Amino acid sequence: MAVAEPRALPAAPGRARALRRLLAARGVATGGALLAALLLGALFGPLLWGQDPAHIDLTARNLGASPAHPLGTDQLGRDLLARLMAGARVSLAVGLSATGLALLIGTGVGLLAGMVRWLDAPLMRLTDLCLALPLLPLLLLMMMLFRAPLAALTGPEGGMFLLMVAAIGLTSWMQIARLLRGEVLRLQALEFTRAARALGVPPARLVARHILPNALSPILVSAAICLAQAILTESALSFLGLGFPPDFPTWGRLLLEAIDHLQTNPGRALWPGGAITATVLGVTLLADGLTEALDPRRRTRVP
Amino acid sequence: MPGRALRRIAVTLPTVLLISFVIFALLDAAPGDPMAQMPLTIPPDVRAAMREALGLDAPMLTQFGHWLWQFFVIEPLHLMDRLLGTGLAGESARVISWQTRAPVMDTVIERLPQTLWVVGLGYLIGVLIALPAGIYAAARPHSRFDRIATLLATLGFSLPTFFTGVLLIVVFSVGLGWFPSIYDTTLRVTSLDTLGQQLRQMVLPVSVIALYNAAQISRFMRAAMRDALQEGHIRTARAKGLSERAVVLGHALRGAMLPVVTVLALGAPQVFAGAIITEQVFRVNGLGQLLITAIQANDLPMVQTLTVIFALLIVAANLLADLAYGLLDPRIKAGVDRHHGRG
Amino acid sequence: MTTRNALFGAILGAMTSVGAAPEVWAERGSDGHLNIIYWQAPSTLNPYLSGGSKETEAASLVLEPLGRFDETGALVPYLAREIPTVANGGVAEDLTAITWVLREGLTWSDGTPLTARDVKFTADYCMDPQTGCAQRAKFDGVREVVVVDDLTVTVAFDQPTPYPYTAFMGALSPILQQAQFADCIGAAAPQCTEANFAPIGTGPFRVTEFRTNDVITMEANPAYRDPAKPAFATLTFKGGGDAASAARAVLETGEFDYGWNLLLAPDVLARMATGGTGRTVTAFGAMVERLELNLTNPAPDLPGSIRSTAAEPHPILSDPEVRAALSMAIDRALLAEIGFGIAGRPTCNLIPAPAIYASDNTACLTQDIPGAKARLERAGWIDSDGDGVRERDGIRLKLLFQTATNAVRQDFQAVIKQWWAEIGVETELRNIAPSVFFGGDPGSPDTVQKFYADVQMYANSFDGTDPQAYLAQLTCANAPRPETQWQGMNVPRFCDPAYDALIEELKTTGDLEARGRIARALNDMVTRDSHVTIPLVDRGRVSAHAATLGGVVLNSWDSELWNAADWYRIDP
Repeated sequence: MAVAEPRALPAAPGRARALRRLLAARGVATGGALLAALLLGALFGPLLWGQDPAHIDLTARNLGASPAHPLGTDQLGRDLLARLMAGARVSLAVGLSATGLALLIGTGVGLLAGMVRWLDAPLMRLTDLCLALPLLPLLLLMMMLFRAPLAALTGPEGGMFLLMVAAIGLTSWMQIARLLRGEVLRLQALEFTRAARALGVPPARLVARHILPNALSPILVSAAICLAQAILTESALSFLGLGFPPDFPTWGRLLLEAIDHLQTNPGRALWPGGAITATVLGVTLLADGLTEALDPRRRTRVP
Repeated sequence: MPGRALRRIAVTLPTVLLISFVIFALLDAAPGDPMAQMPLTIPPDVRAAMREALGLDAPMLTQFGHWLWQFFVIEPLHLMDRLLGTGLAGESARVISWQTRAPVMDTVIERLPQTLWVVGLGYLIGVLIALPAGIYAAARPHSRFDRIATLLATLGFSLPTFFTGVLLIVVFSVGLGWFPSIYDTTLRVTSLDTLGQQLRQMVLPVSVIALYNAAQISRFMRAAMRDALQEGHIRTARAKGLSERAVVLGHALRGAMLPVVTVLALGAPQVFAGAIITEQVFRVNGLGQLLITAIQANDLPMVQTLTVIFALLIVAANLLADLAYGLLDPRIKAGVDRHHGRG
Repeated sequence: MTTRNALFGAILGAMTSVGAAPEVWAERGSDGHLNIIYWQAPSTLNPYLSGGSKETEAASLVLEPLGRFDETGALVPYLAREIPTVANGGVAEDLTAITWVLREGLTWSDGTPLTARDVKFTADYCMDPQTGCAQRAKFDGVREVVVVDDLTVTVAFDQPTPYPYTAFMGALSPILQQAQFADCIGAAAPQCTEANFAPIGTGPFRVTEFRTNDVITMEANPAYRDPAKPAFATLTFKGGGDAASAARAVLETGEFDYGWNLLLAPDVLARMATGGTGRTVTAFGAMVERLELNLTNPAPDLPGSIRSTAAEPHPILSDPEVRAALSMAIDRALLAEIGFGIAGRPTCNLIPAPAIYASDNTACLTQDIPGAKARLERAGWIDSDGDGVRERDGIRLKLLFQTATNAVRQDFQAVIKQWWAEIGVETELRNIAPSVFFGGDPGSPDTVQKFYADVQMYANSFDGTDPQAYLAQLTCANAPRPETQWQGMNVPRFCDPAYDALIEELKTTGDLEARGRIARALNDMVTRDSHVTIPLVDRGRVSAHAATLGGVVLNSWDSELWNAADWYRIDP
């Protein structure tokens, strides 16, 4: 019974204690600061810098760093700092929303498959189907069917935002679902969940108190990877003409455009690439801290 | 056990047929046309005649039925003929690509070696790096190793392969001239010299794929191992005075492998799907490149065949993962076992 | 007789021999191995089953036509003894037949003789409706092909044909071997994988291995008619990837000797070429990147039977003053420089070449923003609410501008958007995946032909050197509409009876001078006079070859590899 003991009796943690533990966890401060800086830059950077990211100055093409253009300019003389900050808004918004959607669907499917016996096989084969579907034709079809109606509902850019988030979210929940299902199966076989069930703990409470907290860490790793992929997928889609208008800067697109100039101007790739990495690193560090703080088993050992 | 596995496979077959149909319907409904890559100078009536010659005018269900028969009956017969020298298939029509006008499966078989070598090896090396790195990082959380590994892993999966691939070419092919930037698929390994060439041309693409996979899998391994090390019985083992090494490898690893098996089972079929971007950058021209060119050319028979083979592998890999759950932790009842024998 | 002069004129220069390349005293196969890279991979080597240039160019190493176009666009005999003309008796006086005479002693790479029956078979192959032949248009108007004797074949036309050099001319219409393809005709065409992947030809090389969409290996054809050629013993033709890495492999790492179609940012290409490992070559043809303006209303709220059809004129673009202003606001020289560098020239013409068909229309080359503004003011388009966008009768001057996905095109879109903003026109940009945009699928809203936008940009040109069929695309009847399943390439839905009449005149005119005059007038009607089509850049080809590869003559009228038999290795 030694296995079950530490988890079977989770003392109700006070909110304040959880928060204190979270803040104390290593990496959380670094991760939080990184993300905060990026978000602030995205929100207020364009206001402070004031240059128009779409303004073309054909006399100032392909410039290196200078006081007027701290990150240089692109092949049409657009200011790269302004583009990087404008891109941050789109990339962060799409990346975080799509990851959120994927988490939501993945958690739902994974929990249902793990908890409800007769749903397991159909849901897992649905997951297999979604894993096998070729992405590009699927997205082309979605754009064809939904672009016009959505644009009519919310305007071209709002409609495109919803469509992108839906497209990316709906095609990246499968790993989360399978991971969570595996964890649920594992946890359900353990004594403490059996005991909880025998004591008549309702399933919702079982999930919230016992299953989710213990299954959190692989899900969060998956979410961080999903975030990186969502930011890049957005740019790939826009590049293929399935996303935002072509003059709309996003991090992925900036990186893509910089590839051909890797030898002439390596800095062009460095900044958007660094921004994507910094975002993902921030989320990873936060997620690590979160796991440590919320895991009932680790509460005595928080450093 | 084998009986149950068989029963489960039998249940899986209709699912695969359903998946095939959904994919076919999707491809049929998606916009695009096999004539898209033809130059604009070809007049509309000629395009119409070419479409007709491809059989595009037939109703969707007829086309699907035709494909189904060819893929599940004719193609296996051809494969048997090829392997055993029999003559079962005769002159029956095979699945023909719209783009190349050649049997799809012949091209797939032609592409398999380079994909397995480059993508398969990249995946394997990635796993071999990721597992020890993840375990070590979890055993020493917040150590310098753990921090550097986290940073590298984050870089590894947040930088796209179109970037890392070109970066490696610029440094190692253009700058240093150590490795070729273009993969020669016709190279046959017949001597030490050609073996050297083969290894040299594999270094860059394999590195890109290995890095990307190692980055992801090591994060899962670390997370799972951290969890496993918190388990009660591990604490008991520690309290008994077992060495940390014995605790980690002897006791915790087995439990920690469960989510890692899930991730590996999700990743393994991807080897067959190829690494589209890496294959394009280094011109490995494997199955990934085949799929993407077929999609761009709206080559429905090719895309359908590749995707369904891919789906079969995914279903199989996930079944294997469920079996592996049971082996790793006998208390778990996944898959068929859950429907029976629960007392 | 004027027709005779015309044909003679058209053939001037055709009599020069193929040996335009520097004389090299090498023997066959003495220069070792040649590496060619195309960043799109050939899917087949039968040009009749695929119209793509990657396939036709790869096939041109193996298969040869009766005559080719050289780098000036002149006709050069290849398998034929000479180019038939009225003057030399090869073309009938009434222009209804052309008789080709093959060179003597030609053999296929398998050693069997090439005869007139192979030529006739090629026509039968492509003209069989079930073959699905991509080059069927080359045989339009051909009534029959008659074998006169072993070396002589006559192509008879339904009606007088002033320009008979379509069938069997150029890389798109080479001769197939009857013995190899006899069982591959019609519905059987796709089944002949072996023949399609390794056709037997008369060209300088023959196929040793073909891997579809990947790589082709070839060796010198032992039966090639010039015993000293080709200089290379073997050849690798690698495909796939992207233009940037292909350029890198030729210009920087030196892994490849020849790289095709390296359309990259000019500064990137220039930097790669500084190492001296390779050099870029360019040639101009008739490919024009242009804007097309929709003369019909593409508003999404219109029913499908009316949207983007002549039933409803465009609320803004049917005003010729707006179209003129849009053209005036563009700085074509700058576009050419940004997008194409050495491979781009600004142009005001839909037909920039050959010289005889090219109008002297150059007025558009100077950007005139104040002039464009003034024109809009005069036409009543005024920015009354001060938001920077003009209006008239409650209609905002706002346009949807779409094109295919391509880095250069997206740059052009951004720059043009800014220029149009300066004259008070708001532009919304959209880019569409090429497979959809050029797909012509009547079910998709995003094709070139549907034109559910106000402005679109793409490039087009014509086969060979005669623009008649190309100009005839812009007649009223060729406007895409629901009744024609949205087929037809009169994309702007231009309709002018005077234009249609002039096309009819062109079809019956044989005199070259007169044909030139009519073609120039037609060109001016759609560009300078009405601004229905706004030509931007005359796009050349840009390719690259290693410094050690000699004999390359880039040709934009035929296959780039048209003279690969003359290529040789320069000793460093």
